[in-house]
Amino acid sequence: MESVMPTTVDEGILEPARFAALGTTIEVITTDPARLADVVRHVQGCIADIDRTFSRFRSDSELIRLERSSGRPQRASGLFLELLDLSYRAFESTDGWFDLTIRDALEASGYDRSIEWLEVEGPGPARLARPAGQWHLINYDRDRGLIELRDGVRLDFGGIGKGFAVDYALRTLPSGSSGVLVNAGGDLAVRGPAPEGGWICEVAATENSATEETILLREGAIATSGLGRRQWLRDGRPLHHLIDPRTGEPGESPWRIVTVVARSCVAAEVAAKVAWLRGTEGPDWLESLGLSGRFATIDGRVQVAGSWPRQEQGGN
Amino acid sequence: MTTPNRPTRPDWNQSGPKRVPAHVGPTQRELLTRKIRTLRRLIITASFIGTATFATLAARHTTATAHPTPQTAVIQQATSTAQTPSASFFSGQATGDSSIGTGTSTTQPVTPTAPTATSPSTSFTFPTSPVTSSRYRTRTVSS
Repeated sequence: MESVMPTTVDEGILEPARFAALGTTIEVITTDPARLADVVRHVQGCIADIDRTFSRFRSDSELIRLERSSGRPQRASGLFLELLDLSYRAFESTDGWFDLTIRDALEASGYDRSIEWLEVEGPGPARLARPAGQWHLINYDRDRGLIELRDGVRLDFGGIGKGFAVDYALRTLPSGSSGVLVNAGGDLAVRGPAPEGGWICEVAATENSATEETILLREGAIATSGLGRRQWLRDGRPLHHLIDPRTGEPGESPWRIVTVVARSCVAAEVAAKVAWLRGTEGPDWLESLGLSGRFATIDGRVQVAGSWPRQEQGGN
Repeated sequence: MTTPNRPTRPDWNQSGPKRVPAHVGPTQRELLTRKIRTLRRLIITASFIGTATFATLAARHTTATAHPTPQTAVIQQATSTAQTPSASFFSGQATGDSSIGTGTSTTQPVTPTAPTATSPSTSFTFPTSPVTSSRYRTRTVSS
């Protein structure tokens, strides 16, 4: 894990702290600068756990080990089974729109290595993708710590791993009187007392694009989904990482980005992704869950859901 | 009356080289082989029972091991019956027993700058004036 530790000035630490992990940038902010170094160390440890357990790009990860032993019951860690179980609940709660078993489709579309190493242009897929909806090939038992992956089914935790990493880091953080924000590549959550007025969260399409809106978050989590930087060309065809589980192909949506506020980062991340995939049904679906969100179209229009304000907001 | 001759065990104490009768070796080997076979069967049976139990429990745990049909059918079925999406994942504690909300009991109330939108563990507002502070600023983006 490449680390970019906080800059130190006169033994004090300037916030925020940032480091590279999970194919993105992790950001940590606290309301108590004296606590930042400890919090960063804790978050780095948690992110390392997540990477070691769920990465599909590491030959030594638990995920790859389990997939290699496909066809018979295997011991799995509590962390692995926790996120697997959570993912299954997400699958059920979204009527299958969120699905870990899109891995084969994702790789067939070209996303077969970490995004930093993915070639922007290349030849088309050399093989047909295995369809999603493969949960019937997965058995697991959290109480006994067992899992069985059958018929070579493979999993992709990329659509939920960052949010889970944020929640995991925050919930295992030793309690303290200060507020903490952890942001994993745009999916973020907070814990503890917020700074006066709240944490300032800018909504933007990518890390380098202009701020479209600003909200003040005091509790919960927020995540944004869209095509972002995870796009590439195969045989001249534009492709991306948001796979439609119905087709096994990169999805199509009128939305450029979808931003969702929820009580946990996994919920915000999954909801934003599914709301994007569901296209015009996205806002109604989000409201039916009691969640709030912002939907921005490619041509610059904005539609909102839940308690997100109806009026147009300018950048701040 | 004489006692009829009965087969006798070899006199192990007799002098001379002690030989193991020809029938003893094979019999012991056979017994050993049988024991190994029995043990192997027991192991396989136990393994099978364990696997079957695990599979049964797992099936129960995952509610009939998820959907046996391709996902397309699941989504189409849900759409056609206009089923309300389950909110359990989104409203429940998504990450174990403890949650990111555990610190909220110590949260000091903050006077909102705009009407506050809340759900059980979310709270956010929209600034009514430009935000100039950069200390607690972050970005949510599509990564």
